[in-house]
Amino acid sequence: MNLTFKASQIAPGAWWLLGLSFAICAGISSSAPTLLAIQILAVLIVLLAREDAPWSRSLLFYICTAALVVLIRVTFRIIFNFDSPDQVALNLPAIRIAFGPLGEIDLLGRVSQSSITAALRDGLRMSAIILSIGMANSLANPRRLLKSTPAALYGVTSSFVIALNLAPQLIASAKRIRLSSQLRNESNRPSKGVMLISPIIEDSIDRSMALAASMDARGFGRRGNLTKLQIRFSRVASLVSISALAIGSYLLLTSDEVWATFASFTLGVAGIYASLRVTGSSTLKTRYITHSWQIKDSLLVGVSALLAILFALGVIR
Amino acid sequence: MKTNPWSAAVVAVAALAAILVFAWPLVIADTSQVNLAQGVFIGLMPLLLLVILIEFNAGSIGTRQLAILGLLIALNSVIRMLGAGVSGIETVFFLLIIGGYVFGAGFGFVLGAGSLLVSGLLGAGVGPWLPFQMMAAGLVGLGAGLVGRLASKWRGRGYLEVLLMSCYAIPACFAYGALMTLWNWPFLAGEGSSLSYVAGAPLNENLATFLKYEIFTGGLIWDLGRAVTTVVLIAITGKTLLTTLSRAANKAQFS
Amino acid sequence: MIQAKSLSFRYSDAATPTLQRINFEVLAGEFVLVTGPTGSGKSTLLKALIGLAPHFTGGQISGEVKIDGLATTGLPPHEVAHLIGYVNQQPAGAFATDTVEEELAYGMEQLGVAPDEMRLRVQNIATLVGVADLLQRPLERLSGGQQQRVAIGSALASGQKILLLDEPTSALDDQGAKEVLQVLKRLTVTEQVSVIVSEHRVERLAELIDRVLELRGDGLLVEKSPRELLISQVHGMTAPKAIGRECLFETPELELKYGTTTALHPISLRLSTHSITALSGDNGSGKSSLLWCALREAWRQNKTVAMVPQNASDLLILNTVSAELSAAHTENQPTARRAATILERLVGRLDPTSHPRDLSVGQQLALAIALQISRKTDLLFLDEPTRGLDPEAKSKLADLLGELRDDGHAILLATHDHDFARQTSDEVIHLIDGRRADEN
Repeated sequence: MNLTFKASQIAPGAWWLLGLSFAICAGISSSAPTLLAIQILAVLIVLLAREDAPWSRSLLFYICTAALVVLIRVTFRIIFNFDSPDQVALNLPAIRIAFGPLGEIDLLGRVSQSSITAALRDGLRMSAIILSIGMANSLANPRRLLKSTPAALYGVTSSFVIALNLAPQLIASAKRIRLSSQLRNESNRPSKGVMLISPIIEDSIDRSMALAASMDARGFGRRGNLTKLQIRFSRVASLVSISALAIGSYLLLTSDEVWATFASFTLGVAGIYASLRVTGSSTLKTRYITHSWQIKDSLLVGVSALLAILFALGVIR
Repeated sequence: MKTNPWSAAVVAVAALAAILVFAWPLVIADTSQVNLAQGVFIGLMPLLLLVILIEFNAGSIGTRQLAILGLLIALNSVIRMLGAGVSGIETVFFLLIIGGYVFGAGFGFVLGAGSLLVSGLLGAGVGPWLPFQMMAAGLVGLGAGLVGRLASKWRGRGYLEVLLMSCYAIPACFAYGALMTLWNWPFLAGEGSSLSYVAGAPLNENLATFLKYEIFTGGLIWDLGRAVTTVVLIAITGKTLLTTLSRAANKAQFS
Repeated sequence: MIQAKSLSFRYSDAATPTLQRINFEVLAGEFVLVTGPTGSGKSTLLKALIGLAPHFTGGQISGEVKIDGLATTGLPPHEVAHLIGYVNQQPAGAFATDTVEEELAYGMEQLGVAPDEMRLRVQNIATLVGVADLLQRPLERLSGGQQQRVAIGSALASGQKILLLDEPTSALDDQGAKEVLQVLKRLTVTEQVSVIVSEHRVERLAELIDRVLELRGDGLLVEKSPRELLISQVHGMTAPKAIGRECLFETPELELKYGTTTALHPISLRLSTHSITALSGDNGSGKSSLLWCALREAWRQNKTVAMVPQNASDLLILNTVSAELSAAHTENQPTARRAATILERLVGRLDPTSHPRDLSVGQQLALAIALQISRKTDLLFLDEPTRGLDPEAKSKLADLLGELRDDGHAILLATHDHDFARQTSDEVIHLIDGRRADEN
């Protein structure tokens, strides 16, 4: 059995499940060491598993964002402080600014130990969530991920794939057209930005039309149209789902009805799933699988699920 | 494109729910559930996005229309990546507004949401904020489509249309900014600071605190920069782009 | 396999139909060439057969097309995709995926072929078109010939028995073209696929084809045998004249590196008045790079120079042909008139109100050449000036270049069309891998 866990050898869905379960764990946990451990683990996994791909190069961005979030959260808590006499950790001069019709605002003052640790903990939680999702995004190939979206979104995701394919070509054609514009006049200066917008867009419209033609000529768009009944069902399901999710959120925030809350959310998710299935059922297209699901994918998903469950049950905090 | 009233109803309900999801710190009543609420709402936003995207996909969109959509998303993503780094300059919105205006509300929504997603995937970063950005930008595009529909009898009168789009751009940019600030408010200020929302407090008190937060964090200045950039770009490119995109709409046979 | 009866097609804003009551039939396993002057409707004919015209181009179609006995006139492309494969002029711009294997499978996914069968067919078709060892390769890292073969494989992967190709070899060097044509021949012989190819450069195809359909430019079609075609192809080009020359432009050693790879090894050029110099070589041999380096050098030395880039449509930035012509030189009206004259001479009269983007590839090139030549600069640089031009327009271009040379201009052109290079030029510099061939 091949057990190398390199980015491209694991299904993108599995990386995302791992990332989401890390994020859920971080959302539940309120212990600073655990949150820090999740962050370190996420960064380590990216460093070990990543390969040379454009989407794998943004790790530093995620680390910086994460650090910035912690910093902002703590500074914020210190600057926009409520003066408090207990457990004073920092004693700063208190400032009160009148703010016209909006009332007053308190700055600095005596900052308590507990408010700083709370801010630090919250900041660490946010940055752990950012790094978890950043990990998934650094390791999962976005095109392959888009390929595995449900059939009900096929049209929309195709346009996203077209966009991913066209973006680098656009940069190239913008450069080319800018260069060519130098050739038309005596001064050999490139035309101004605005003059070039129209030819660049015209050029890329031609490209996108050529691409659409080639896709259509190979059968794209060959889906049976949805029946009226299917569309109606999907709309009803969507409306029911949103209502159920709204009720669920309301219950969650205002009551202790665990089961009713759970039921509402389940109904909401199930409605959207049903809507996805029904509107996706009419396409006759199939998928060419470049990556077949392997034991190691299941292993990764299993570990992710286990972690999330352990956190949810409070075994790990 | 003719819009089915039921389809419009689904989108409207989902959009309304989305705005509530943005605005939860203003209306939340109970402090004890705050952490949970934040997590749940982060999970809800993608579901609402999904509902609108399913609705768009169920309409019959042809290959050519999808190609134009893909092209504009690509353009917008490239422009966003080029504009990034210069603070206060936000370049995603002018093409989004013009695109939504020309091609309609549903198209505008997917254009907005897609531009943020694709530029995120291309390197601008994917995080828990992404579904919220996608929704907010989608709503801006949707609104532009509605403006385009209201102005359908002005079609072809270039400068008037450019003026109209600019007029829409200003509130749209501020609304986008307000939505995203609403999102990062609990995220960055947390609870218990003098600029934090207070669970259970009356709406107007929380709104006042929110305004103070907007002012203190420079959010409003940022929004102003965004609005100015967008209006200037629409004024400069609007007429050319209207012609070019209308030609594209003809080629792609939008009816 | 294909029967067309009184097939007509007219673009929405065109005065005359592009195809006028055309009749023809193509049998299983036949290799048919569609030829005709630039803008005569070769591409349109192929597009009409698969439904891209009118569904992607606008316009009106009438008459009858039968594919395998099935009437398909007016159906959109995706409804006939299981019967006909189509490969357009620039396959690289038509790829819908990232890797060779996904691209081969793309059409099958759309047609709903079962995953297990897809796997098998990807292997088979890859072997058939000769890309079996490239399956995992990203598409952008393929050579032109390989890209063309992948496009062919993808078009035929679902078992289509008809293949339409729009100028499959015009952008390819000799080696790439040979590989593609071998694949096509193999398909007609072993798989009984009917192949219809539109092409200007008929000399490469002459030995392979069974029949020729020639569009005459007035919308009518005549059938010819391959032999008749070759006879009509023989055309003279002006012989170089030796006139007193003086050096006009001399470059220092030009060199170009991208990162660690060297696109161009140090090379110097010397262009004289009354001369045509050709840079020939395969795709990727450094012709274009050398041309652009020379251009920058000419700017640096303040020479007057006009250049037509490889992608000629990049030069066209206005909304109508007449606007482009009158912008040829704003202060100087005669230039616009000269440009119009040159254009007419190359490809006949074009509708002045048509959008440059709606012209055929050859017409766009002719317009770009006309605009640039009319500026009467001392130096004239042309990158692949024959792409999409029919033999007649090509020989007219050769004449035109000859006249410009006689007027004293120095002309530098880059082309993979070795015959054109030999026939027009006083000196041919052959490049291999960024080096002069005679230096190796």
